[in-house]
Amino acid sequence: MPKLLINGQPCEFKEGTTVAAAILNAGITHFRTSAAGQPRGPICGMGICYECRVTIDEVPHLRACMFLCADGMIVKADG
Amino acid sequence: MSPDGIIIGGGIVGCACAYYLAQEGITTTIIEPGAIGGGATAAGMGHVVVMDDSEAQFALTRYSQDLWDAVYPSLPAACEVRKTGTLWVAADEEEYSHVALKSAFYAERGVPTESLDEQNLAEAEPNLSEGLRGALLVPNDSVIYPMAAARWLLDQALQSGSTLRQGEAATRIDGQTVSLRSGESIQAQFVINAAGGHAPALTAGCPIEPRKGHLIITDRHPGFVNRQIIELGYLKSAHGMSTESVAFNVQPRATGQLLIGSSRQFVGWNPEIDRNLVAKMVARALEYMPTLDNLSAIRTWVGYRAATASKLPIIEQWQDGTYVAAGHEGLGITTCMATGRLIADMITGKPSAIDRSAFGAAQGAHA
Amino acid sequence: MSVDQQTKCDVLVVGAGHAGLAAALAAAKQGARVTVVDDNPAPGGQISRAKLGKPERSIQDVANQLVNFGVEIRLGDTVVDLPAQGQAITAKSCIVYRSLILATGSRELFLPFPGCSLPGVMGAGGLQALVKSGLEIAKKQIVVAGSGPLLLPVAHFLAQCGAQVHGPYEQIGYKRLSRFALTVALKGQVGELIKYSRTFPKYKPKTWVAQARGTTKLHSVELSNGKVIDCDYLASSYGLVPNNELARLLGCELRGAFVQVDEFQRTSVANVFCVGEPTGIGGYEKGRAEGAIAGKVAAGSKADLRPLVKSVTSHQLFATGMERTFEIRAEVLALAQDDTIVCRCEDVTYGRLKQQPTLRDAKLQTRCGMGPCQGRVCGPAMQMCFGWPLDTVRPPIVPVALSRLGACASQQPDVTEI
Repeated sequence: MPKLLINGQPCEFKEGTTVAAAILNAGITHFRTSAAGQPRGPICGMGICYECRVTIDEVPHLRACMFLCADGMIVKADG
Repeated sequence: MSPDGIIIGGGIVGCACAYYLAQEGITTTIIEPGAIGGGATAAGMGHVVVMDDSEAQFALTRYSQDLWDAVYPSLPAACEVRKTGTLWVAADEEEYSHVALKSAFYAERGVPTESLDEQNLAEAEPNLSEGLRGALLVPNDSVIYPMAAARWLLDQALQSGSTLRQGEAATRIDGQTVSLRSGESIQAQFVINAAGGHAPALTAGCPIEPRKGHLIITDRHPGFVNRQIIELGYLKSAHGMSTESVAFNVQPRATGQLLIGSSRQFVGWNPEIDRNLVAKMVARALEYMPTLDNLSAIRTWVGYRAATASKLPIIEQWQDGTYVAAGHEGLGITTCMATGRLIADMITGKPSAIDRSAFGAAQGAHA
Repeated sequence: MSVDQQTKCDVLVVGAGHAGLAAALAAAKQGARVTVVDDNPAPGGQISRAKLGKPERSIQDVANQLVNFGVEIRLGDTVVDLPAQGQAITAKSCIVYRSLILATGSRELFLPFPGCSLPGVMGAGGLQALVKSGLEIAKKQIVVAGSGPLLLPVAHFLAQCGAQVHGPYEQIGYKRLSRFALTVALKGQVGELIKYSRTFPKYKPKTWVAQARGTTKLHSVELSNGKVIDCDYLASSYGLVPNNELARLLGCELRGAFVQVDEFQRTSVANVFCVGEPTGIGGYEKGRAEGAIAGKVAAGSKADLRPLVKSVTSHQLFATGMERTFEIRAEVLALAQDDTIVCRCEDVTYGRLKQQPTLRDAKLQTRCGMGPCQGRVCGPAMQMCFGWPLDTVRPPIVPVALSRLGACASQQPDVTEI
């Protein structure tokens, strides 16, 4: 089964899973930290709220719900 | 209790006038149809910068910067005061020779600067493109969040007994009487026209034209840029009177967002985003800083600078008795403090720390 | 940085949900060259979002037909600007078109309440979308709450996926909820009622979430009746709002938040059509019917549209009825406390906002609505809580790389009035 790294942890995923779903499946709920330092996670699931932003393969501010998991992908969430 | 004076315009210039008059024990009524600092103030970059285009401009910007520096410790966190300094970037040898001239000009007048060569510049700002000849750093320049600063200046005046009439618009000035759109008229001992680009509608013959500019703001990337970075060509753009120009100008905000400009065009009060001009502005920015394209632009907006042919603001008592404090072009945030102080000096009959005559029509400063 | 690719088409359809695909097919059948743009990795929009990348059968059927007609469906791309008539700038390309069909769908209405910004609190459709995208929820405790017809299918779906579902907790009362059930039945959707027959009795009317509790994430929910439920997720939304940004950018006339259209789905702007949720929240059948009309007309034919127009009229009536039925009660609009976050992008609290006299003052003093979501989350909430009107829309209508602003500036489109 394909795997991606989430905060250093290898996580298996089914094809068609988004990064946001994979992060939540890994038990991580803190995707990004707000301007005032609060932990935040996805709310809309459709790419409009920008709360699910994480770093994917060194590119920051990407909406995890709009990216499909890929084998070998490196994801960093704040949590 | 009727106020001593009326200030038309709740932008940062009007608010600074109210602030300094309040310090003199003089109350005012500020009339503002929209949001406080909602006009050119909201479209400004919040850059507090000394400029050397002319002696008069230097005197005004430096004096005003000193006044800002004195008040900074009192400003709340929302004003986001930061001493970013300004980096004037020279692309080539010719521009670098201007760096030397600027450096000398400022040195003679006691403004600290530092010249950076190609390598120093690359180290200071790694995201700048390679091959730029160097830059002049002016470390005492600063950046603020203008709308919060305008609000603070206003609040100080309000606490001293001045009043705000928000949502109302002035339609006419007749001596010491101001007519409002609602039909009401108010009277006071003096009237200040601080209506920016709208000043000519109230004071006939006031030589101000709106000069539209575009701004872009990005998402948050703290540390991407350390200083406010401006290409030396900015000076040609600002001080020329061509119909359309762009010049690279990028500012790091306290939020970590980058504010990107700049453009100038005389197209009246046209609120549309001019995509062609924005494309040129972006292309210019990417020439100086190609990695900006890794960031996302989250908003664009326009503003209208109040421009005069003389490139100096009008800070004087007009023939009809009105005090005009308008026409600050791209330097309103910088020079509002000096403007407010000079206006207060005029009204109280005090001498000013700098020569006021340069900002009046009598000296032929305004064509 | 991507190289500008220029595409020419007769009809550009924005959105590959039911409405957009129906429009594309109708136009293609008339011989038009059609391009569809959608930001998701698979077609289907929100209601029929693909499960683990596999589109729903009805969507796949239409998509296959579209391929046969040579329609180009561009997935993972999004329109960022419509700089001039006949021109579109997307995140990846420049498109020149004769007619534009906006099928941009809707998004959830999020109202502020204590704890609403805790991780684990999501939209109802939002949680459903994440589950369809691979989130595992078997045995998880999930509270479904808020308002609107969406809560029912979401609760049903989540239960089918093995979650322990509490609710749906609906803020409208028994009378209105019964009216909703009756309308659905009268609409001939007894099939829907039967499908949801197990979930329908679980409705708890006149109940809402008073507070979401937790420190770094959600651990429980307190309801308006005092009951506390431990849970992993709260799936909550108060209805749907139309994605009308492109329509507003073009200056299309609105009625309220919806785009005003005539019987041929034409907006007030020449060569621009609007279909689906942005003309009224009426579900996929409305979207399909409207799409079929707009696609045909955009491609140049007005023949045989009467039955479709009739069906749209009845769907529109249903949509208006639902809007009235699911009115948000005053107690829900007053849930926010001073420290409740309203603007999530900039962390602006209710307490700071309520001091501001106008939306513009609020934006300038607090930055609310000026983050990357561009006011999509907080805007409708501020409208409902403070009565502040919608702001003007400027490009880019979604955050995009700098070089896309003003891209394609030198295009010269060939535009014909229809």
